[in-house]
Amino acid sequence: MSTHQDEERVAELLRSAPTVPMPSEVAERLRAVLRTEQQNRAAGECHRAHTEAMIAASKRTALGTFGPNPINRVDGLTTRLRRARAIGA
Amino acid sequence: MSASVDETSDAVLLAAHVRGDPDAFAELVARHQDRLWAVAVRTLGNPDDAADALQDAYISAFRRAATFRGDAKVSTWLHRIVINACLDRVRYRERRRTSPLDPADGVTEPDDGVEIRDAVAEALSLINPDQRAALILVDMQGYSVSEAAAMLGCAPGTVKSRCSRGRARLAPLLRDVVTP
Repeated sequence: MSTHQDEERVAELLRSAPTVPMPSEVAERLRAVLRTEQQNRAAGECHRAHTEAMIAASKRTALGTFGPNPINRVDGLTTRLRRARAIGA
Repeated sequence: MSASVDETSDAVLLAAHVRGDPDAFAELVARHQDRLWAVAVRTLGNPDDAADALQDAYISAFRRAATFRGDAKVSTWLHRIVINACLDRVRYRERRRTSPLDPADGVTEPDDGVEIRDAVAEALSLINPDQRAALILVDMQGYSVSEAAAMLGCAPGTVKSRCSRGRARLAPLLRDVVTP
């Protein structure tokens, strides 16, 4: 048998080898993996959107306007008021 | 033509996934899952490894969808990612090769189709992984040489020579099955 005939017969045999569809448990496992990826992506996008909103809002305070600072969420000055030191006390 | 409609829909689904559609990617891979499974299980010769490789490939494709440039079909791009995941796993396994606990464990089944499948799978496992991948795509999955070249990331001439050398390697290994 020539080499070419050998190759033809091997190719024919490979073509005739039966295929097996993906088992249902593998398909379910892969679906679960994709669901988890999708949840992670959604969470990541929420986080990114929140960060972008914070950065956009921070420009407002950088421009010298007043109001709550979205970066450190300090919405009042009462907790940071310093008492005047009494000289000689 | 239905094939072009499918491909258009594949591209549309991938674009929808990139835009944030939560179901588009799962629908896209579900369309191709049996072909991707066949490629993975034939390249790796083991359903457990094939499932692991497909999982890696799905995650990689999911995350890298935005990098798809549209030069090739979406199905070609998916196959390429799956084949790369399989070949990575083959190389990893070859670096950490271990002997089976009981090589005589294989059970021969009387069904001719199963015998051919097992013989082919065993013979494929003995040849070079690149030649194996080329043969799986061209001879077993029926892709054209140019499609296989796009999936494997090499020139069509390389695919042809890998197929030819692979068949030559397989011929003596499959002599008992090939001989009528």
